[in-house]
Amino acid sequence: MATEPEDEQQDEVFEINDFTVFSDMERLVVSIEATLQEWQLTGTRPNRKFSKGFLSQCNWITKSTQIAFGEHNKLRVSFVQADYPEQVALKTSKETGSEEEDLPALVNDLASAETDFVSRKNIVAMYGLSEYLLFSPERTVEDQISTEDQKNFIMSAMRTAAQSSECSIAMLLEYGDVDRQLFVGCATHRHVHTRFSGSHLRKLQTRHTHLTGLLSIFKEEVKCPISLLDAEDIRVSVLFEYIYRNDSHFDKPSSLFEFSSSNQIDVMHLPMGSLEDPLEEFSLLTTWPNIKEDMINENDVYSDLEPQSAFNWSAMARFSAVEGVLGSTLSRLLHLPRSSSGKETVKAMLGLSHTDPSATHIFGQLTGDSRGVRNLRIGGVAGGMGQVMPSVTNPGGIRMDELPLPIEKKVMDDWMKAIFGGASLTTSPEEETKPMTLPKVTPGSATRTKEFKVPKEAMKSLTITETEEREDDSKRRISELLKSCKSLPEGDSLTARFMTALLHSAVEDTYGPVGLAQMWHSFVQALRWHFDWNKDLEGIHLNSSSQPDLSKCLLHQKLEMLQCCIEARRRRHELYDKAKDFHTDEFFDAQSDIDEDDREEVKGSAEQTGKETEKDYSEMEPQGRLHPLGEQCLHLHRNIALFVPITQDRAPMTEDLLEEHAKMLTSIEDEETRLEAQLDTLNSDMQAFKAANPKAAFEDFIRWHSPKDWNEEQDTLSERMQTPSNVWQKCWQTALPIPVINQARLFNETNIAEEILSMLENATIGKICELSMPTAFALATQQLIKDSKQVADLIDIDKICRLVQAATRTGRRDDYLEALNQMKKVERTILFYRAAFDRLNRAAETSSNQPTEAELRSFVNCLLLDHTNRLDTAETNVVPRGIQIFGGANSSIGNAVCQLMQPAEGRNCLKKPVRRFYTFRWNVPSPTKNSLVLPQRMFAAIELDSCRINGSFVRDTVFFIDG
Amino acid sequence: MAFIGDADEQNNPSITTLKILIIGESGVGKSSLMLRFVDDSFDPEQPATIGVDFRVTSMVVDGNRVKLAIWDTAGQERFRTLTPSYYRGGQGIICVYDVTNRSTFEHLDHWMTEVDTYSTKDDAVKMIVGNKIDLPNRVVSREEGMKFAKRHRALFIEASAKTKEGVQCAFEELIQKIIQTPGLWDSDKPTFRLGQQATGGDGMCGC
Ligand SMILES: Nc1nc2c(ncn2[C@@H]2O[C@H](COP(=O)(O)OP(=O)(O)O)[C@@H](O)[C@H]2O)c(=O)[nH]1
Ligand SMILES: [Mg+2]
Repeated sequence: MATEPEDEQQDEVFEINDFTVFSDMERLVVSIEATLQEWQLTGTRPNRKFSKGFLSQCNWITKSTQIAFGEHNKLRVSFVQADYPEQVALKTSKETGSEEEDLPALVNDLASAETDFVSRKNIVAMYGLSEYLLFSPERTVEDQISTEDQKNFIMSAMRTAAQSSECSIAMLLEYGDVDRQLFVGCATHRHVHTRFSGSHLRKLQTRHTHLTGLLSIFKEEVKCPISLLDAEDIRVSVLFEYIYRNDSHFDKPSSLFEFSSSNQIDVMHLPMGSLEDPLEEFSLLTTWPNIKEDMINENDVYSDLEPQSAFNWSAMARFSAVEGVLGSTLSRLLHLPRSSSGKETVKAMLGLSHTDPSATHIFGQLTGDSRGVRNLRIGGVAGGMGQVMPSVTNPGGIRMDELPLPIEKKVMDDWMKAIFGGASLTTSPEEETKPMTLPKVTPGSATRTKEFKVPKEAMKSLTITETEEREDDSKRRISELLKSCKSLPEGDSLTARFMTALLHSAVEDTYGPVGLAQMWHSFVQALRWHFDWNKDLEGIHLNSSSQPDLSKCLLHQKLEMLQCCIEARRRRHELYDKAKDFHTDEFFDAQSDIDEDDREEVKGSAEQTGKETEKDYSEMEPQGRLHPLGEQCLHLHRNIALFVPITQDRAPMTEDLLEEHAKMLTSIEDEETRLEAQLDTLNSDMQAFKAANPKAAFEDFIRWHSPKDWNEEQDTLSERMQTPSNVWQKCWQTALPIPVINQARLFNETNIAEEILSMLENATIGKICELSMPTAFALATQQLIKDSKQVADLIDIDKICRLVQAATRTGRRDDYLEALNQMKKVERTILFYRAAFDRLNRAAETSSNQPTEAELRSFVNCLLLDHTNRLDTAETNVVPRGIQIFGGANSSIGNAVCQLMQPAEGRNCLKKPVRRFYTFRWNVPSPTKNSLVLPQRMFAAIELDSCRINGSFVRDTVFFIDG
Repeated sequence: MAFIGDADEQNNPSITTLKILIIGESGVGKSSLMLRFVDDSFDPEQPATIGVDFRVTSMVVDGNRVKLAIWDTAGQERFRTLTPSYYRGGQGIICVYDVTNRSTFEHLDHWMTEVDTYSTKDDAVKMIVGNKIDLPNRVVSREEGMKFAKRHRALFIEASAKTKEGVQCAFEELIQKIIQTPGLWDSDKPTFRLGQQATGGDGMCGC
């Protein structure tokens, strides 16, 4: 541009049109015209005839744009149209005769009963249109059309644009407060003009409240120019809504309260249910469609519109978004770590001194003989966080069972018994077994005889029902997903029972997480009891390698590790007993501290005798033999069998221990030292091997330990084993023959167990939650799967499984939150289902025409789906829509609905409709008797305290002189 | 792809640290493969591994430096109970057999089951390596090895730690594949951790 000559530039300037003086009106008209052009809405619209029921189910296509009006305001213009197959629409337009072509397409819509009570689009029901242009304020407050001037201004712009573009589509303007759904509009097609008007009254006159009154209003508006005898009949459609409201005095279905307080012992089911009844309202919608006006009667004293006489029945349920117990309990677990009690320890919360050394052995708490109690805190209400009051406050040492805690001692005993598979933990085991360490156990008196669910039995029934169901693809996928959660193994386990109990204890939260702390504490004490008495943890099944399963969560690993400790100690004990049978020598003692000394002794003497050592030992009695190694004999002594020695177990490790171990290894820079750090297991094997085979050579050891390094054919060691300086040989040379029983323990189960128990005992509330999360979420998912069978089509269990799997693996709080949101949704759906199903089921229980379970189930599913769909649509529907009940009052479902709404005793909800809807339709010549016969339509919605009337009146504007 | 010494850490910081595991029967050449890759050396007298051993190295993939922690495990029965624990968090798993020893090939099934049970990364990249192809007395054919790898959806290569053949290529393929698998690796955290765990640190108890 800059390079162009000046005069050319000036030429251009002159060519520019100057629109700066354009008025607001002109601008608005142009904007509307442009939109109509762009969307190709000009010219004659195709006639569309809709099949029965189509409009109440179809999709609605919406195009929308924004245009400016006035200085700062904006309008949203939307074109809404029923999504009707194109070819069908075109065909009907071709079929129509040339005479009818003079009439706009909307005349068909107005004359048809298909638009009656279409609830998805208010304008469709109110004005009888299958396509329209809507002008609404862009911003609900700032752009609101509130004055008559604004209204007229836009209306006249609309009209002008429609005329100039020959657009015959109905145009409506939304004005006033959005909640009131007020519209005014027009449509112009050559000489046929349609006026859309509406009113929403808060004060009702009597004639607004019944059919007769509304009919007279309609007739007044239409002003039929010919005798009523010559005119066509007025047709009316009526929709009544009867509402059953859930008031507090209605009794609630019992299934909602399936969740139990911690007083009901059930380690098989997680707490589920809701304190509030989610069902708000249940509506019966009855319709009398398209009837001649004189066929029905309804006025202020009489009505023949009885629900039983209606042509169509449908029902609708509205639910409130209650929070389920399971969801809120899980969310408590998620939020506690961040709360003020998150940092408080369990002991502090329970008012137990955590400085008292005897507190680590307070098994006494279970037997009621505790001295660990140092202060008293009432249900977590009193006392600051983490403050443990001095023992002065409790000089007598109040016993734990006398502390005012949320779960009674007796009840807690029952919980523990159920968790640990029915074993009573309050007495010492009757067996001759003595506790391994000195347990501070005082055998108490066995009490309690309360009924509780025995897990094994419950589990059995569960598996039976599950195998009965057919295994389909999705089920398998879900089970795969659940299995791959980093949480707990499938099916019954100690971890599952404990976590179920823990969640029950977390339901009640009036006094904060004290119940949770109490359950945790009791469980850990019971674990300690098991370890002290060397009792297997019922429900912890170690895999063949006797290692904690690292694919499970840390809590489960810790419990497995504890079981490893129990087993290891029992094995050691047995070994000790066996050894004692052979040698009554005091030399053999299982105590590890003595082990150390012995070893030193042996080593010392070996060192003194120097080179002779090997010979000396070769004459020893073989010790610690497990079994012969096949048929094999010693390499150098072909007549002596080769024995596999009893070996020590590799120390099992949980993931945190392993992490530590790996860190330790990686921190060692020097390769040699790193190797040395791992030599103890090899050394232990060599010692045991030498003890079992006193005359064995290195070759023999390799043949057992690393057979791949023994060349059978050539009878030689592999090259790498032959190297003189190699670690294996060096290790062999220094290894002394020591049977396992006298060896230093590689796996000090007592220390490990003590570490685990004290970690669990001294855990903070936050730590508890963190440890519980993976298990709690996996169990909750399983529970939801079980409980959601009836609503399987409405929910996405797959998604929950995926989210939970991800959360248990990453451990991220956000992932857990995301999973929780989904789970809450599903729990809510289950609660909704139960609220509706149980109510209807119970209502029809005594009657002969009772729906089958399947019938009722699919009906309630439809109700739920309808409810969610309604929540998803932003618009507030003027006309209610429900799920059709085929057969109406005579069907079994209809009967159940009747029984619910009109019980033998109690309030009769069918006596009077709460809301009433009417559509009137009349084909008359308008405005004069010589004018074209055109459809006139009026819609009315009558509620208790408001009344809405909308009219679509079509007029022929060709002027005829009356007569 | 090239190797860069630690001195380059400053110039080209690594984008991630990968944990690679080498498993398989004793004597198939696991340690030899690792040493060949890391030090480019071969020592027939390299002692049999005790417990676990590892090497740290780094390599450049598509211009990005990647740190590698290679864990070598002992294959002997008596060491086995512990080794599965090291599978945790491994993004790449190299499963080695000896082409001159059929039983080492037949035991692959056992190793793969263990990988499936203990690996915490679902999509960890698996690679089957048939080693010692320099030896004349091969008993496992290339086709057999390939068939096995296909069944387990693993990468497959034959190699010789002694002659270098295939070694570099095996590791490169594996690392490339891991880097291309979304979600399998995390960007490096400021501190370098060898046995990088499945995460969890930034998790729950944020208090
Ligand atoms: N000929 C040959 N020998 C090998 C090869 N790789 C390893 N070896 C030898 O096989 C034996 C076992 O190797 P090693 O790496 O210790 O096996 P590992 O037990 O699996 O770690 C050693 O003697 C090695 O020298 C190879 O590619 N070719
Ligand atoms: Mg090795």
